Amino acid sequence: MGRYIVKRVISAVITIWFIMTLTFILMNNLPGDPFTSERQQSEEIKAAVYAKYGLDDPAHIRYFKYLRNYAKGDFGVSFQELGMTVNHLIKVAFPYSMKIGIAASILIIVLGVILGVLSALKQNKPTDRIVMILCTLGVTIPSFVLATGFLYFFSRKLGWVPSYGAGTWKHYIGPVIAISAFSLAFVARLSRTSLIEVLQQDYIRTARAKGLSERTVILKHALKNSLIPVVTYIGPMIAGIVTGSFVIEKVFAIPGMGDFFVSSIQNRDYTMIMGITVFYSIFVVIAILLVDIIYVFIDPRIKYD
Amino acid sequence: MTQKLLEVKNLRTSFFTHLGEVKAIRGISFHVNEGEAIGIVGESGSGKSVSSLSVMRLLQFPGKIVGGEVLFKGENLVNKPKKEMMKIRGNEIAMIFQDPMTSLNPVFTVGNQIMEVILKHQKITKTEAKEKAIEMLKLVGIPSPEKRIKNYPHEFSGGMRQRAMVAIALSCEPDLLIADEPTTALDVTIQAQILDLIKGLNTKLGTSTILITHDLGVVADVCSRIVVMYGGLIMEEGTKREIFYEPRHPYTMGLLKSIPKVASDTKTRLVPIVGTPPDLLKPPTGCPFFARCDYAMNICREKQPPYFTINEGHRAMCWLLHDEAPKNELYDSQKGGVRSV
Repeated sequence: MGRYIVKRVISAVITIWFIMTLTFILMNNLPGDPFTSERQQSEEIKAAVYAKYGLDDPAHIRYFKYLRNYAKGDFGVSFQELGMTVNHLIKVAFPYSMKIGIAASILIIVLGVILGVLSALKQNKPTDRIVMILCTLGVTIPSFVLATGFLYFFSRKLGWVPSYGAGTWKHYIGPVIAISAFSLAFVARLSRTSLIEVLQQDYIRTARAKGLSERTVILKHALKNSLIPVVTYIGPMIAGIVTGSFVIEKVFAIPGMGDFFVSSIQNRDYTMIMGITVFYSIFVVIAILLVDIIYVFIDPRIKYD
Repeated sequence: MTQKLLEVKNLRTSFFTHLGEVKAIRGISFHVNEGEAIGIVGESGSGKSVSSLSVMRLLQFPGKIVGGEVLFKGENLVNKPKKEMMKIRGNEIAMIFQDPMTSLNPVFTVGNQIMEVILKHQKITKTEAKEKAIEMLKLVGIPSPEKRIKNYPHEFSGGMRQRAMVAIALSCEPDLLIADEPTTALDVTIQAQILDLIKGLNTKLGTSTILITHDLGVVADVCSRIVVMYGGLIMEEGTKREIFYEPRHPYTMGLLKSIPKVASDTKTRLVPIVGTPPDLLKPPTGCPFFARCDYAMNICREKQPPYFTINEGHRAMCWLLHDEAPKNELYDSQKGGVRSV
């Protein structure tokens, strides 16, 4: 196990380096630079600004400078937010995004599995039909539509929740629901199909032939097996939640990472783009590594090394 | 006088599919005496597995017992409450299934799966259950059981998995063991070992056994009595001797002719039974074997034959056994082939 984790960490570093390089190349080939939007400046001032931020160096020199600074954990200074380091901005903004992400992940896994199990056990009965209709809606309605709809009904019409900001727990209800909908529906469907299939396996018949109660048969023998494909989905799901949150944070005006990321791209804020990309890469790589480790505990047939 | 441990009386089981009612078992009666090993033989779809699942009340939707009785120790299992059935399953009647590769749960250790059934039915502690599980693995011939108990099924070979299944089945010392094609998925060497194991437990522990198989060679080794099933009905029933040396039903004869014989010195071809089993969605009104029978008469198509008793314990469902049937012709032609088995 220890060796496996070391191997995974090395491959994670390579992955992140690859992402950094790709982002750097793409970013530098975008038309414009961090200062094109400023009002007309004289050539001297422009040159001075470029020199100040090191933008007058050739691309490969800047590239290695980035790599060196990142290795030291220094993400640089934002070109747009005056006097702010990228590290500081992430430190302020990330907690908002993380709160939404964690709440959404818990909701997706717990409720998704419960709904899936419920409809598998009531296969083709009304409960199952209702859950499956909701799941189809959840998968097909885009999250921003859901978010806007939520704001319209619960903030504007009913006034139950505030429409923007991130002050109280009530602020998070809308974002969490909007982000969860797709994955929640997907997990419910996945666990339903998986459980139905598992219940037809021979070892379930064996369990029943042992005289075990239906409860034990389902909760012990069937559930653990049916969760294997669900766990597989969780890794990519976390990545999906992270990227999905950009749009949702914008709709609900939550001062999280998403907002910074979108505006940094619009402003060609080089350091900011790089900082957030790398930060998220690390985050997703760790999440997937954790899922892979959980996998071993659920399915003993999977062996690492 | 031997006691009847299990008596199945006129059992009927159907599957209610969207195409209609599939009558998988259409009224079968047989019994198992205490300490006896019987074999149920038949080809795929003859209803042999469904009858064992019916006895255990393990039929899955849309299968349902529609009539008859299953008397176990004199009590009818057909309308027993679920809770009481749970106490019988695994404890008094245990089952071994066909495919050992899929019959064990892949995500729990073998030890856990043996201990589970012991803890369910016996009031003992976990440590005692573990000791018992190790003892069971030793009994079924798994080397170093103390270590093996911590293994997962995928770390066992096919034969070992089936041994583990036998260990699970026998860990509560059941009165009746139902083995549903226990050796079909195994290679011949392992097959022989598993059969020896089942046979040994039958003779040593006196566990009554029902061995379900399509392989006559398997029953010949283990069972004292044989029930031949076809099309959801029992075609012939008798002692091993009677079935192998004095078969009276053309279907039994056909089965016997289709097994290869080691001793035959001439290059004889195996004789298959031509045709396919009847569609039980629309079961034939007459004898189910009518369409494939070389000796079919008009009456066979129209009317299901009754059982004709040849002597006590040996009966067959065939019109050829009727007094007016042309029996000489049939037996003359059969004698050579069948009696040389």
